[in-house]
Amino acid sequence: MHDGHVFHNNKRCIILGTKGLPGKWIVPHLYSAGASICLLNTEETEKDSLDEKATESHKIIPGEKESISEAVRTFTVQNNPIDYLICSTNFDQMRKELDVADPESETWNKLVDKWIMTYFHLLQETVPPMIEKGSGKIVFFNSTRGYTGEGEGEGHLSPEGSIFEAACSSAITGMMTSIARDIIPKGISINGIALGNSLEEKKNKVLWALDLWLSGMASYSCGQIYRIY
Amino acid sequence: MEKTSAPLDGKVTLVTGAGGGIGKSICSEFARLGSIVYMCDIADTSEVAEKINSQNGSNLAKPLSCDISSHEKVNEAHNLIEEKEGGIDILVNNAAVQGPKGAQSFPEISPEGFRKTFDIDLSGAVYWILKALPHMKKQKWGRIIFSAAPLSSSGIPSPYLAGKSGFIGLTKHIGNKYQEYNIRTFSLVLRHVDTPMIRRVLASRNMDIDKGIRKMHEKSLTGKMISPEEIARLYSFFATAPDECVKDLTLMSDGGITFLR
Repeated sequence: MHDGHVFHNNKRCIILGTKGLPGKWIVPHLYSAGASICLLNTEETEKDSLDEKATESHKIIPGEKESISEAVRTFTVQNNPIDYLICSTNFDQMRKELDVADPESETWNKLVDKWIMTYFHLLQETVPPMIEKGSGKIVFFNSTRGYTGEGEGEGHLSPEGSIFEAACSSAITGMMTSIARDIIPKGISINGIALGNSLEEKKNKVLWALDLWLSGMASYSCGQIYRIY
Repeated sequence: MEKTSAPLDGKVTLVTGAGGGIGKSICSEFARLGSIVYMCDIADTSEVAEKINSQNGSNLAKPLSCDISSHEKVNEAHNLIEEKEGGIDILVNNAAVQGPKGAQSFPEISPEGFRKTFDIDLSGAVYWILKALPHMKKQKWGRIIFSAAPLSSSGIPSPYLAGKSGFIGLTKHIGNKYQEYNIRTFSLVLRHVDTPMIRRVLASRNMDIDKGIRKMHEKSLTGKMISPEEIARLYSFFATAPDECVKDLTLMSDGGITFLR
């Protein structure tokens, strides 16, 4: 039962990608609602205020199974089992790297490791204990560029180079949809949030969408993606 | 000690199809959250309204008889509400009939039957929206909610699917056009809801009801159909969303049946 609010008290969550938006919003949102948080980041950066809110914080190597497994295991040993897995990425940073005139295959490979394979390995680590428990909620972040092939919406031109983002983003949708078939019957929900270009003014929309998926109220919406333009 | 106000205190909600399984749950939830709720249905909803009021210890649920396929009847019903409450703040377009009596498949379906079903399922919503919008615009706040259906539903009569699909266009259009008035729109695209209506449909097809219901539960990836209570909670979550959180939203809620099965 809710009264216009969603609470996450005592929920144990792993959040990937908190050094930029939207991760920077998600951590305080869940922390203030009582969640216990493990942060995973692929970038090497100084500790920030979000790290202080987290029970644990780990640097992982993008796409590397061992590094991801170790970080997840540390958290699950202490706080087993996990309730939420939120896979995000530092969109601003990613777009800075990708929106270039002549993207190269090396950039593509890095993106696949950072985005697709990191999500994949994280799922492989966290889903089995969720299945054992018979519950769990997973939220993937991707990009609306994967739907429109464009910028902010239909008829909007993409920045140069966002071809990689569009391809990876659609790939995440496909991966999520396929995995949804396998894991939803085992009590786990999996849904997505696709983000448009200008993130800064979309904080409330992102957090509302996240609450919608995590609250369990929309559990009959299987493998759906909430698009925020 | 000061009494905490409920999230929908002071709001006026109108729910169409209020006498059905989903409608009753929506009315009950919205009244529980403090809204005055007009229970609009062609059938008498007095008993259900009384039950909701006695459960909540309030007098917020109010019966309203109206044939929403007639714009004159909607105008009359709206005038009554406008006189008493000033207008409708939250409109829930939930009424639907599956199809006309007699032939429902194409091309056997009669034009009159098609039109009547379409008018209940879509025109009724349009009539209510036309009446509700000026008040929502004036006060710069409103919520319009639709119980929609997926385009790919098979075996569903054409006027029903036409009507329910029309909701998706209305959701997008109204959400965009009246964004600056803080009028927000939400379509829940529903498939297989555990209601008495679904039991009636199975019975009308001479099917074993228990077996049919069990099969429908099993079809969903979650292993169960969505319940009217779950739908009501989703609607109230949307209705209470702050203006800046959502503009228009169409949410597929089908247990993965449409695309994942």
